[in-house]
Amino acid sequence: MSTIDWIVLFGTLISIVAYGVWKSKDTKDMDGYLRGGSDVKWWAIGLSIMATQASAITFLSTPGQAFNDGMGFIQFYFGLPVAMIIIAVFFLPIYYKLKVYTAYEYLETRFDMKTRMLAAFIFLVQRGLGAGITIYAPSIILSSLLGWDLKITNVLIGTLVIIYTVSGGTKAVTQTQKTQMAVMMGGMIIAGILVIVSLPTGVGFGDALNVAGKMGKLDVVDFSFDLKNRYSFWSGMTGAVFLFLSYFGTDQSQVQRYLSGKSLSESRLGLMMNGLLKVPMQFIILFIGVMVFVYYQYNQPPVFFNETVKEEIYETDYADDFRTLELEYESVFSEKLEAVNELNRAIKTDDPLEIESAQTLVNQIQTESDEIRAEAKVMIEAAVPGAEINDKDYIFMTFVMNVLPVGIIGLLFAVIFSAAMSSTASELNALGGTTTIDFYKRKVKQDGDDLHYLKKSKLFTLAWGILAIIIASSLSLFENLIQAVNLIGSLFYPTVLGIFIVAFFFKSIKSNAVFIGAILSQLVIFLIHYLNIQGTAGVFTMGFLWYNALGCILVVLFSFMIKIVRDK
Amino acid sequence: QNTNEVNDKPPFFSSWPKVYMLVMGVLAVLIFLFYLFTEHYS
Repeated sequence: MSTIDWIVLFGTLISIVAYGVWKSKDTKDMDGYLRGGSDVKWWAIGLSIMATQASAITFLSTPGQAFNDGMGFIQFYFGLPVAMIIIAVFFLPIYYKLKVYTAYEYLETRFDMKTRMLAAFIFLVQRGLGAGITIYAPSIILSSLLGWDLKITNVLIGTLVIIYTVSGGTKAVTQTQKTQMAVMMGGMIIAGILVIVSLPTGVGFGDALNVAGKMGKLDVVDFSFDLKNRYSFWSGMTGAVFLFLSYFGTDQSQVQRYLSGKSLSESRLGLMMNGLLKVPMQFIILFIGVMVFVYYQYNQPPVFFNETVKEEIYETDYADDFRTLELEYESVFSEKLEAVNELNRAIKTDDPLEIESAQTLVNQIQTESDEIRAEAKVMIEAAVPGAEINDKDYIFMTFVMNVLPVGIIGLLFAVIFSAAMSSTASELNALGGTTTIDFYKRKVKQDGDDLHYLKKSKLFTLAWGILAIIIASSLSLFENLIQAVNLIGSLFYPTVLGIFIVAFFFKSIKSNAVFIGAILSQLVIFLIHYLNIQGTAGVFTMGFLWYNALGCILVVLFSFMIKIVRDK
Repeated sequence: QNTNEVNDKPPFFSSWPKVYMLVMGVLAVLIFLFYLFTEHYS
């Protein structure tokens, strides 16, 4: 990176932190600290919700996902507007009516204290670990790309977030997220334009679309009904709706965003804004990934996108074999380049037979090319034990660093850092708030004044921030911990959503029935997950996405059955 | 206590169901355009 890039990167990050601290300097009470003073406008709520969900991995992984598998991932987001409407109609009015600070407060009003504590505790465990990952996941990629020490990168991201989140609470988080979203969307739109401009002379935007389409990267929607297909219209409109309901409706890091609204209408409109803009936003990010794929049809791509790992293999006995593989990859690329040019020529002739034969040839060579890439990964795994062989998170930033002009590289790194910070800030803000409201104020000290709880909130937010940095720094020691944490979310969230669904829609079910129903449902989810790992789940063979729907339905069913038995 | 109002009509529209219909309408149009896009380029 050049000096200008470093100035752009740090200038952006420091400005955002300073802006957040300055805009929230008059936060003097709990309402200001946990709900932004309850005067946030709808568009700021919408931006805040989007910035919270858009983590660094959104911008690192999503283009890489499109590069490898095309645009199909967007279907996952089709369920989001549906979930937004359900939350706006059923969840929000009750949260507002009861004037709650956290979603879990409502559960005590509706059921009892133990149900509230159960949901709040699950949130703290899941989000506390999740905040560590929100820092760690981009850190490991950024430290590799920038040549930094991993721990220093963790501490840098964590400290920047802690500065404004601890001092200004929700107000600071909401204010900074406005600027962070501007940086993120501005940076990505500029990157998208520059990717298209970077295509070789003579290859227009239409040609790029034709190549991407004929190589299977533009299959945006798939209406086929197949449970094994992770991303289809149907999984987006069913399983994903449950996932988004549990994330946006019951996770305090999101609930806190829209509870800061000036009024119920402002909050509802903020949710609708998220529902309207999320699909187009994901389309843009995925489309950039597809355009990077097209760029690498005309320019030699590396056989493996993580440079640091590649340098490590050059130091091992596998170096010569790896270089041979790279030469093979280059010769296949030259062959493919000719075939791609032939495909473009065939498309211009409009002759279906010619197009089909050119398309078949291109895809045949692409398969060869993919096989060499897979072989390279196997070799890396053997040569550098413990190396991450999935390089999709490195594809986009490798393109940025090698192709985009000075200044823009710094801006794109600022996008990634901003995304990491905006998500972490919401998480710490919610963790501090939930600890104060649901545990400290409820169980430890009930008669404190506003200032006392404000100080405690700041203290708890700081403690969670330090814990997140410690977790992020420990993650590299436990290879499978990330999957474990993501798994915790998939295993526990269904039950929490089930409790909320019973609370909102089944008024006759009381506290003990839902508590026992939730525990039974949780045990069934554990059992089904265990059977899935063993490969003996039979009709219950399913991906994580479906746990949400199943767990939620089970809580309702079990609670109902317990209620019927008790009524008799 | 929090001061936000609960007894409040959406801005720009006469009722909330119309806003929800607009959101679902936009989603339906997007999915239809994606379908055309997929068919055209595959």
